[in-house]
Amino acid sequence: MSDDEGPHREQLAQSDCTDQDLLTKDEARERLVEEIDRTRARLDAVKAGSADSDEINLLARRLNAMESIRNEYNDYLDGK
Amino acid sequence: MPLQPWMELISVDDHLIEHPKVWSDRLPTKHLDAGPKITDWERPDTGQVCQVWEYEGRIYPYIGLNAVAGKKPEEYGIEPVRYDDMIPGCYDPKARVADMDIDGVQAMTCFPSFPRFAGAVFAEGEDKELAKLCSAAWNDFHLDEWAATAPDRFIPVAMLPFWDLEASVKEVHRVAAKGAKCVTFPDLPDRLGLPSVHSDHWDPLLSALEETDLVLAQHFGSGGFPPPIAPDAPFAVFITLMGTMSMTAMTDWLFSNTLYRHPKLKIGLSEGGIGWIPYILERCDSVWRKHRFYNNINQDHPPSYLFEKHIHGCFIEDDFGVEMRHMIGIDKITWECDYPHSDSFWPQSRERAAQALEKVPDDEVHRIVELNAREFYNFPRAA
Repeated sequence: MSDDEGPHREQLAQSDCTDQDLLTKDEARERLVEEIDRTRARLDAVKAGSADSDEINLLARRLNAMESIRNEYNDYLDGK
Repeated sequence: MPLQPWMELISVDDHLIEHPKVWSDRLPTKHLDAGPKITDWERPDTGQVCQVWEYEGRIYPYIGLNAVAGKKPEEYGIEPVRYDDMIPGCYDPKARVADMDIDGVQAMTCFPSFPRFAGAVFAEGEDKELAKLCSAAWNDFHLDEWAATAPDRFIPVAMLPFWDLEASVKEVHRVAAKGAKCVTFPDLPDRLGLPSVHSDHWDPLLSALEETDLVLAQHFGSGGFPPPIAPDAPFAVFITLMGTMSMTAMTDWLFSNTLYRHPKLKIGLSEGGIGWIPYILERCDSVWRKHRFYNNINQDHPPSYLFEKHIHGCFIEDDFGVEMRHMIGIDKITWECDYPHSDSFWPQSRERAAQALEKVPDDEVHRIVELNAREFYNFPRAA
């Protein structure tokens, strides 16, 4: 194997003509954690800047919703 | 910023996972044993106990239950799991709406999973009466339970017992009366042993769709025919070429005489992408100019004429398609987010759409993300 070929990965045994890999709770939580951090930073920046109340409310509501779902995933995944 | 806050994102390609009682809640008692039901099943290779669908004694281990808990994207594969391992938005419409809110998506179009994207699993059924009941039960579930949870958030979808033409026509009228906006139909029906779209077999069904103004949605892969690849090719080759199934389906329509008999038919190519459309239209028209004289094809209009009248595509990530949008037609492009598949950008779909359309004028963005879908699918904003 040349260096360009990279590490060997085992080929999946099954094909899936419907291409249905689903988001998992692990993957969803990981994405949520990243998005929560980004949204919180954005909210802080908006509060420190123009103080647009509409945008602040929108960001805060979305942040709360994401944190709520993240906590549900935490409960499930930590209990495994 | 071209994607304005007041523009609502409408996705025309998403999926739901049927909950365990979709059929047991609706089938007549005498069919409950043979009808689809969730059962525990031990994988022979790993010994893992999985929840799987059982239908007429057949086990369907990999359909709709292949979430891969605990794995990274580079390790995604096809392993059956249990409902508890899925995110609730897969099978719970209230959780789905919550996830849509986070994602900045106003409405979506949810295709089936266990029955396959156009219900082909029921075409395999030995008891055809049961198969028709199963197909109708999915429609009742979708229309009465799933979409009814939030009528302004779900574009109602229906499937057809397409192996029985007369029953399909009846079902089109039944589901239209119940509020369906589109029917899912195999992208390559001939690959399921049925007549192709070049025949006149489907005329009564297509007329029914014209009368009811429902979209005929062809999700790639729904005909069960995979892209022809080498047996030892990496799975990446397969995934890359899935969109070519939509290319094949569209080329069939464009060289058929069928659409000339159904001038009002609307066809949606689901999850197929759009970047390939200018190429295939150019190629079709070139072939038509050189070869139409000895083919049983329309001699008056090039294939692109039918595309403009009948077909729309969608994209989730297709920079080339966005760049070529005027060659496709702004009015022919819709947007999709493919939740809950791992291709989805959830919970960043809105932000990613804004990035993809950053250089597109506002009015064109509005058509692509919202207005075209609302018009094709007769799905106006709630008053």
